[in-house]
Amino acid sequence: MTASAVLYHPVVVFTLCMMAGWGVYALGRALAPASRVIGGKLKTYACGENVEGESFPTAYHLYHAAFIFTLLDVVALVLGTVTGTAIVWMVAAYLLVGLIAIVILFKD
Amino acid sequence: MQVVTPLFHVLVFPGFLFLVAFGLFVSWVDRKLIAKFQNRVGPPILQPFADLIKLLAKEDIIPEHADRAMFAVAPLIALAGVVASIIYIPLWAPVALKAFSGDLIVVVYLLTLPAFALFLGGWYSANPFATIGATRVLSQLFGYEVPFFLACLGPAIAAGSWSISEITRAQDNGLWLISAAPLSFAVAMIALIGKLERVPFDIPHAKTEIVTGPEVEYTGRRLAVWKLAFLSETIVGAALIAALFLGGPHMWGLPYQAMPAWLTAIVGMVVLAVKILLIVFFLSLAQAAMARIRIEQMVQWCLLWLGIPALINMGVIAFVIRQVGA
Amino acid sequence: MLDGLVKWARGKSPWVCHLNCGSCNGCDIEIVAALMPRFDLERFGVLLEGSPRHADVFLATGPMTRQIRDRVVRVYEQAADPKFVVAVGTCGVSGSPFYPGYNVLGGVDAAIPVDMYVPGCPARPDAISYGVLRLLATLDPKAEALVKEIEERYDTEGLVYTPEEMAQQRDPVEGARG
Repeated sequence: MTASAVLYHPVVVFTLCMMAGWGVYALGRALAPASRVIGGKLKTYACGENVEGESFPTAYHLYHAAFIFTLLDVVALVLGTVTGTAIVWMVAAYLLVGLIAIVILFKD
Repeated sequence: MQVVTPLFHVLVFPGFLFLVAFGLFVSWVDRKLIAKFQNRVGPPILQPFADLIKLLAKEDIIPEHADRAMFAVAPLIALAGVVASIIYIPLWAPVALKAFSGDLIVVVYLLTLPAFALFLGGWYSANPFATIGATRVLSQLFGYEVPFFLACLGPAIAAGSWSISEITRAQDNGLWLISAAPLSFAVAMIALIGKLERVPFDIPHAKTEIVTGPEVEYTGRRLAVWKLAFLSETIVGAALIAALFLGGPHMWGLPYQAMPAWLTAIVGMVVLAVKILLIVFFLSLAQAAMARIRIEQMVQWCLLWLGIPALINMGVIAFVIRQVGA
Repeated sequence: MLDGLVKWARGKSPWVCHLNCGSCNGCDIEIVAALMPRFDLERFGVLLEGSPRHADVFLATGPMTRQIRDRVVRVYEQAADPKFVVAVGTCGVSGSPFYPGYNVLGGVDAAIPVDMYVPGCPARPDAISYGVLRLLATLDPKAEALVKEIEERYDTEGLVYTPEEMAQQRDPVEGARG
């Protein structure tokens, strides 16, 4: 394995870019004035209201969308790994399954 | 030399520094175009650079209830994911710096990292606006991610390869894959708006509604890194679409045979930059012409009117390839 | 050199956050008018930001009411340094007709420090942009030259007051003594 093969590996490139981003932080630290905590500077911003930071519960009403996402992501990945020599009815069947799922979930 | 060249590629050109500089320029083009559409003068050319320096030179605040590590690392993940993917996209020649079978899938998933980082950063800010924005980021991801992926599969099937470089090289004969996958191209362009969270799909940020969503607690250098991540993502997303559908650095009518290698590289780079700017023109036009829609409208519309055309186009391509190949 | 670059950048990129301390919406609409295509403050780098965490300049309108005082102070504290406040409108300057009221504490400076005063009922969009420009002139020497040019060409008397000028206006004897 040559040096370039290692350095172009996605994980290595990603790590290098993380370090470059950290370099931006370091530049900012050199330029910015020192942080002075006065009053409620670190408090959670909520339009001036005095809220205590906590995990705010959120209602999630898009389960069917999440379900379709999972389904189609699997379909897409299966299609992605199919090569040109694959059996065509398999591809067609997967496309059909995806279409049927969309129709069922959106029929109302 | 074996170590220096890759490091130069990742950190300077075409990696980090180049992407940031070109991204600042393109963001100026974008703002100027929107200003022109609205009959304004618009900002001067150094405006994005001034914004960046000013943000870097501002005080840094981490809210007391936020998760310190997550809050600090999330912008870096977004930026690194975007910058890393430029290495696998062909820029000046039909072959990228590094090509392997399946790098298309790696790049598509690297480009989803900003969305996940935005979710994490917003969620761990422990702020009501940021929490709402973070859930919207994920909901929106359900809407655009699958159509974008399916749209990218169209040219991949047509070229018979999972490497972006191979797909671009297949278009070197002048037959751009937009001709084989016009629906996929349209889907990819619209899904890109969702990916970049721009108007009309800027639902997670929604300045007039939930302030700026997940970024609301970010100041100074951390906000600057978020901005850099999004403007780099604009470039990388546009370059990916150009490489898949518009022949990457290829342009008709240029005498490639007569040109020396260095001239070919420069011409290729300029051609790709023009294609990126054209895609950005489309994004600005959409931003100037449209208003924000609601999140469930976005998800339903995208799955229906982006997902199905992408699937149909992919099926047609697979069928034709099968018939021609047999 | 880096210091000069930072000064230049701060003068070129003021992101404003709009802070309503109890205004009647007159000045708020004039602020919006200043950001619209006719005046187009984006050519000076002004962007309207919702979150005080992103903002450099607060455009504070209206008399400081007893109800909103704590909230304004909290929002002001949550912004990152360096930050500036422009009091917009006569109410923002002094509390104006509402001042002796039981619910009004005075102008914006009754709660937070103010760096520039823009009087007017409502303040004109050009006066607001001139006030922001005067504020930037204290940061960036190039903006100072622009202010001089504007003062030569137009009558800017009484459009904008610095804190020192305002102190003199309020109490000529004390203000002159410093």
